[in-house]
Amino acid sequence: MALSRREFLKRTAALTAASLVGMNLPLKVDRAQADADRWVRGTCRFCGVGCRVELGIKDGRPVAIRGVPQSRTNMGYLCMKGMLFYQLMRHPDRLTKPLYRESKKEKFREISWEEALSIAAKKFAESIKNHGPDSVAYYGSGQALTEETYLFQKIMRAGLRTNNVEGNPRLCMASAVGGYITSFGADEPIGSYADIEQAFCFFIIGSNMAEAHPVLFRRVMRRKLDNPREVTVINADPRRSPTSRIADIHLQFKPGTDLALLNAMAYVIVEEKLYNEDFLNNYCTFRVGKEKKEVSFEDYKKFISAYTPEKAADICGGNITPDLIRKVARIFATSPATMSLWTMGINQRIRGVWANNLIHNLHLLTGQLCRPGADSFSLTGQPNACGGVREGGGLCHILPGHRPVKVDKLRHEVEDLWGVPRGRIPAKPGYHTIAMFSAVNEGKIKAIWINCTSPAQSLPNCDKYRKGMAREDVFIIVTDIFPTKTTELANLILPTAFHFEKTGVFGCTERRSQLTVKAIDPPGEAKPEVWIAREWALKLAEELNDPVIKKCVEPFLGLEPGYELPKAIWTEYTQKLTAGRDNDLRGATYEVLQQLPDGVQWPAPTKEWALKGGTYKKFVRGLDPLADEHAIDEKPYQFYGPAHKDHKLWVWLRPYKGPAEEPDAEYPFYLSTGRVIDHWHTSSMTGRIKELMRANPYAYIEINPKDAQRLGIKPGDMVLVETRRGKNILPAKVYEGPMEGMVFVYWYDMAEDRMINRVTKDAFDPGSKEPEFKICACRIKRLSGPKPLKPYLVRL
Amino acid sequence: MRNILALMVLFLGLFLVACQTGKASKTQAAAAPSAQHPELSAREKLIPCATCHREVTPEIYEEWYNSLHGLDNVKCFQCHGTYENFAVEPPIGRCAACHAREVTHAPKNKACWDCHPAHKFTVHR
Repeated sequence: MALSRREFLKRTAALTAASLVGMNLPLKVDRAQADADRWVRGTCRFCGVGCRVELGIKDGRPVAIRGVPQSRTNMGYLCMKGMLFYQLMRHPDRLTKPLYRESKKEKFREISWEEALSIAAKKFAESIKNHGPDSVAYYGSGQALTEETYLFQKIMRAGLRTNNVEGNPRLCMASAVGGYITSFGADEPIGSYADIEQAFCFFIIGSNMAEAHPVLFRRVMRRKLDNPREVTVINADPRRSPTSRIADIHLQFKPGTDLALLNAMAYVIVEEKLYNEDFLNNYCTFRVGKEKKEVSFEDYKKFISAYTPEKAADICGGNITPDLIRKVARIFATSPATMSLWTMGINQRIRGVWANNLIHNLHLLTGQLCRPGADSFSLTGQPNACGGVREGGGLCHILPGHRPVKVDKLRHEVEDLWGVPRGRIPAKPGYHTIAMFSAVNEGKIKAIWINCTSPAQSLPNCDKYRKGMAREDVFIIVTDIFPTKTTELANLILPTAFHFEKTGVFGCTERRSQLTVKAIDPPGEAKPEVWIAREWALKLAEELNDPVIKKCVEPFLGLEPGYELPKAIWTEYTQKLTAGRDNDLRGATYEVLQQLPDGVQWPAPTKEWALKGGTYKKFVRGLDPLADEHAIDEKPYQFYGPAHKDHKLWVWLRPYKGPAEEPDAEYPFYLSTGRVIDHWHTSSMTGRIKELMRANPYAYIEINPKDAQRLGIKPGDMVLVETRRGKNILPAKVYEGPMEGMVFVYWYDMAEDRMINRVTKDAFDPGSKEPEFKICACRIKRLSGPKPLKPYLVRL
Repeated sequence: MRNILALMVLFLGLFLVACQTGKASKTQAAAAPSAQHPELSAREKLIPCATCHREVTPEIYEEWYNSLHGLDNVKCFQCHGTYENFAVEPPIGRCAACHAREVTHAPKNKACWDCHPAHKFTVHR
């Protein structure tokens, strides 16, 4: 590598001078905004921000993507993934024909759609006949369109009579859902991105938003740079990341000690009387335990007295001192408006719900909520984890419209709205994700449909679950656009339409629903999932001789799949299932969504309200129509969330709890994982874009320079990473990123040696069931000097 | 000696750009790359641009790293393309991916960097 570098330097010396000088030469200016003959509006699908984009098309082929300047999400800006994903639409690796093999030992063979759908229906029907409805499952995605998730879960629950409906948002957002419901009584953030431009303190904890949400990070960065003295950015993370570059204060604590830090901040706020007594008196109660017992502020003070900054600093380690905790608590409490932002560092914990509660606590104590710029704002990882899965009924315990499946009244309401007999949907929630794949391991699930996600790579401790997925008595259907580590374990692969090759809605982080309209045809025989699900249901109805299954898709029969079919599904979902719910989307019809540059924020119960953009801030009278409708007194804020009948916000007494697996003498390092900006999830898409693959061709293990020196590891050396579950071999990046005693690995790489979820831990939060991807114990060892490596993608 | 070498490099650079400019005038309509990147092996192409340019063009690297683009992780290839579509001077269409409005409203006879210094992109010259 060193020789190559020298050669490179030599070869580029001349060019360097040319490029330096060339900037000032009067070259002809080429102003063409890509050679497109039409631009079609939609939404980016490569994170949860919801950037509005336009796809440029020439002669029926996608040629460019540009941002929409009028959009309130991205204001025209895009990241590299958003700029370049048009390249995937005509990529030669696209899956274009249904592929089938009876045994997983065989090679795939091409079959017709007719045969594929018959096999899919027969296998599910056989399983149900022989082993009961709970022997089948659907595992979906925060990247599926709302129409897709909604239709699949309707067929599974009302048609096949199972709540085995899950999705990958369980792996990233379930703790945030639990946090919002238990603290505020309602899922999803109160505020919006628009709060960023009005905030004076940003508390960014457990989030590398510069890479995971780059275009939203840009807004925080802009706010800070435009107001360097007035705005303070606090970044709390065991790893220094690109996000830390804009931070005034970086809190570096040992992984998994965040609960102690957050409670200690609350301690300071209470001790120094920085709390907002009016807000607490008017809107809050204090709660403890599984019984949600109400306690007094005095009880809370007594509880929090155990978390002195001194004690917390001892627990947290790193650069955390009692004075630093006091300092950030004061800034948080006294800033004119504080906005917290977090993602997986908080959610992917065995006490992720508690960690969410403790962030909310800080906002409740200080009244940093409901005002412009003040919000407790969870960032969502995927483009439609909120809209499709959290709102559309894509998890095993929730029905569409934020309805817990176990509540008889709400379940029967859904059955009535769908026109199916009462009792058709089981009362018992299905398997959550880890339980679902454990059931696959145990042979309890005999047929599973995996849509638009790759659990073979993205599950923690994935080797354990790949064994189950490899069983010959488990029939696996995968719907996707490219081969993945999961298609390797499939019996039936169904090729689907990609973004802009079909129509549907994504609901992003800030309760905003945005429509992407079909612009081009999918390649080969690839089909939209809504068509696949409808046709499958019709065959299932025949196989099981069950007219209720047909009833589930009856409103959609005969509709053209590119636009009319998803529109009918969206209409049913919004007009029937969200009516009267907190995510009321009745005003957000396809026609309304197409009129606006950036969609609608719910609640949006009427078209008139939706055409104004919907609700910027929930619970505030005058801003949220439901706050007026559900008002119980004259106070300006009305917390009508369905989970808190007392209309109060709850301050939780949550004790410190460390990670499931901490370093010890045998495994002395913390291992954490995360994203890089260039890649999305398992890289099956971004790995096929040359620019992105070259920018990050393989996963590295980041090692703190002090640890690297101690262990004799140099940049590029090959390093063995071992945990109690397995091992990886990765090149080293020696970098002042992770704190001493911690290593960090990117999780996108699908090469077996570098696929880090082979060694992560599958312990999960008992409340949210979200696994603790972010922390486990490992040991590392230098294996050799640098070795030539190759990027790797699964191909058929 | 170092100065002489630097001058030689500079002249060579100017010569290359002059050649390129001539070529560009004939091919600009097709938005052809304004220069070829030195040939690299497939393995060398897997080294992120900034890794080498931090050493080869440290001034440019620093300007970029400390710019808004650098802070927000807007990487070299987003403007300059990759090896198959590489351009020393990016086609302005690439700016439009994020700056569609500005590209539309900017003076027609100027490139973005005529007013906003290249790689810093801070204020008007």
